[in-house]
Amino acid sequence: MPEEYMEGLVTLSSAPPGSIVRVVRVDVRGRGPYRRLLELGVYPGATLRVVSNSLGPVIVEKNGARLAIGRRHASRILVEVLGYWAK
Amino acid sequence: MEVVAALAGAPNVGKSTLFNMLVGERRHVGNWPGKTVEKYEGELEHHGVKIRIVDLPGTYSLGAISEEEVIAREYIVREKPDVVVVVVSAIELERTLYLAVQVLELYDRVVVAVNKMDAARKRGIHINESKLSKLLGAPVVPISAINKEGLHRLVETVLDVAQGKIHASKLRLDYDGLPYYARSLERMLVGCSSLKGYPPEWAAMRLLEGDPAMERALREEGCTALLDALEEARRRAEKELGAPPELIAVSARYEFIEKVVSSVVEKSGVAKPEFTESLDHVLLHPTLGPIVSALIIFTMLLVIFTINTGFPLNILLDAAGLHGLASLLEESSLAGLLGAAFQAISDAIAAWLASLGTPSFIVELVADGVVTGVGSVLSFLPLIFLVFIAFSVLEDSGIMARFAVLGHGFAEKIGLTGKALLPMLLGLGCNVPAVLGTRILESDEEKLLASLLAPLIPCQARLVVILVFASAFFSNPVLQALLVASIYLYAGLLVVVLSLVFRRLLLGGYQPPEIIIELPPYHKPSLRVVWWYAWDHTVHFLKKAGTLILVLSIIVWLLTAYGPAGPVANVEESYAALLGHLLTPVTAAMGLPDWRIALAFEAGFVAKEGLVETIVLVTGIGDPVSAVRSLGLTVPQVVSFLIAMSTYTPCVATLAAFYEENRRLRYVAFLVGYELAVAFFSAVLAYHVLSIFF
Repeated sequence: MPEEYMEGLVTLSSAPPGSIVRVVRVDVRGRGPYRRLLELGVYPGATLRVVSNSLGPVIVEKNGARLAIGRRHASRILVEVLGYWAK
Repeated sequence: MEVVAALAGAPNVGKSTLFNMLVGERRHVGNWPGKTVEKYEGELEHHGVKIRIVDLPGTYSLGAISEEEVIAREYIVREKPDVVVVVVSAIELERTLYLAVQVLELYDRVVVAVNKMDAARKRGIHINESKLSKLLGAPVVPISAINKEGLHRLVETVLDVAQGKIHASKLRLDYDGLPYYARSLERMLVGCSSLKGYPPEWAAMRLLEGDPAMERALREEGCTALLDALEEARRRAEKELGAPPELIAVSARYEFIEKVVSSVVEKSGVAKPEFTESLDHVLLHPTLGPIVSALIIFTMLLVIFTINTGFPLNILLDAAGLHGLASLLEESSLAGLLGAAFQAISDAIAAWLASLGTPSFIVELVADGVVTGVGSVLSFLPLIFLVFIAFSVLEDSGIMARFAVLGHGFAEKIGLTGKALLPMLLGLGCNVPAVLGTRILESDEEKLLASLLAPLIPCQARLVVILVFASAFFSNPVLQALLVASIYLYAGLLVVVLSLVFRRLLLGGYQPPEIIIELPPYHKPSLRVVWWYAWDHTVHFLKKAGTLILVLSIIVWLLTAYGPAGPVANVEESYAALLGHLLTPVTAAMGLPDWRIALAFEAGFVAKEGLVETIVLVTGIGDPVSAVRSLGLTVPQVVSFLIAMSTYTPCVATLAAFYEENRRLRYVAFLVGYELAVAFFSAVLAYHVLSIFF
């Protein structure tokens, strides 16, 4: 997605753990996975908390519901970091 | 009068718990016509009205992305149940309302059951039910299925809706500009009969959103004009509205849901540092996670093994000098109890028949053939049941989803998703639940791949055979352990290599899909739910496979009890021995020219436990270890035998499970064929390579 890189935006796969992000774009390949992500609440405008992001799938939380998203998918989701979650 | 109520709900909302609490024992499991997806149905009676409950597959939406979604949707549209009860979760209202919204758009006789109210209360979450009901346009009943809270009211409400005392109305959302494009499609739909039954307005919107199942139906019918118009409409909508129609539709639903949630949910008090938070910290930790998970699975397997056969605790007790306790444990293990029970039944029947003056070959046929056959069917059950219990505990508690996430990186390397890992690991206990467990996988390719590979994993029965041989021929415990470990390692190697081969040659270069897995909040598994799950699956399996296993066991018994000269006193003169002799050229190539070993392989087809039993039978030595030792095998022979034994054809029960999952005899033939080939060539290779050194 580098050609579409925008100021202040990162891919979900590189969003730091603990950050609160807002989804800007979902460019995931394949209609099935794309729809599934939308339906599970990962759509442009949704606010997510990045629970963990290390080697495997990225884990995000939205209103108490947790979701693990494979890295390839996560690298095609563009987000804006809004801030950090304080414990 | 009979009322039909369908239960719909997203995964993890507690729908199965509700189903079981409603119908109790009056339930049965089957399959959806032509599918491998399970169908649960049950009955209950309320004030003289019979209510049939149909449990639809758990789905996140009705969007027809998965087979389950198609089944759920088709059922509502085609069967028109009197009421659809949509179960949502009070602690994950937003996500679980998504399906409810879709059902409410499609159907007007709907009751929304808000489950997990107990957990919500503990977290200080309050839900204004009357407001929720007003916003959704359907009756709302708060329940806690696990505590049987609110069920009475739920059933009353279901009846009220069914009898027309309460009217629900279809939900209408604001889809921005989309309806404009849908309307032109709607008019064309009239000419296409394959989508008859769907409300045209609804169908047009779904088509615009993109609906693989509907499009397939239209293509098969030859409704190309509509398909062309659809493509054009989608293209135009995307261009003119600035976003793909599916994105607009999903956003509109979530926008509505967010509005609903924010106006009906009230949070009070301070949310405690959540259990899920801290446990996920450990379980999803990159290094700690795999270690803890491995420990959990390992412990579960040890407990299962010990309850089933006493092993390995009996060996530890023996080693500690507590021989009495060790044998007590063996005798009171499930396999021990079952074995003893069937021996007693067989003896009693034999004595009774003999006292009636029945000819001896009939006595033997009944007592040894039939009763022992039934026994061998039942001998599978404890292990299957126990592994299902483990499966259910892990799934119900939310741990399984974490395993899937953790193991995904590794599973990907062998062409599977993380979800396949747990069924495969449980294969170490018994291959039957491992193969049946592959039904949770999403694609047919992955199901086939995982169920072809799972039988390679040495189950407990094979472990026992390996241990008997290891202790018969090696006195050094280090060498014993090395032998056992190398058999397991070889099985692991085969899984990795064959996965590669199958994906290349069989599945056209199939790659595992990326995962999107919901991680439900952890909760304590309910004993009743776990029991039901394990019991239903075991009974279902027994019904499907029991006859087959029974018939094959009796055939094998007949082969050992009869020979060309009629009933034989000595197994050496039997048909089985004859067959064993015929097979020796094959086993001889593996360095095992002894016909008794060929005979043991025959018996192992029914159950791998039968291998050692047969050797005991033909050698006439009661103690398994001494019996095996009397075969006088060399090191290359032992290794060759064990490799062949652990990889050759799966037992009958596993084959039955495999057929149940894949429904194609040629796949079953392929499974048996490839395993026999792999076993043969591996054993030949192992024998000849080791013969250089020993």
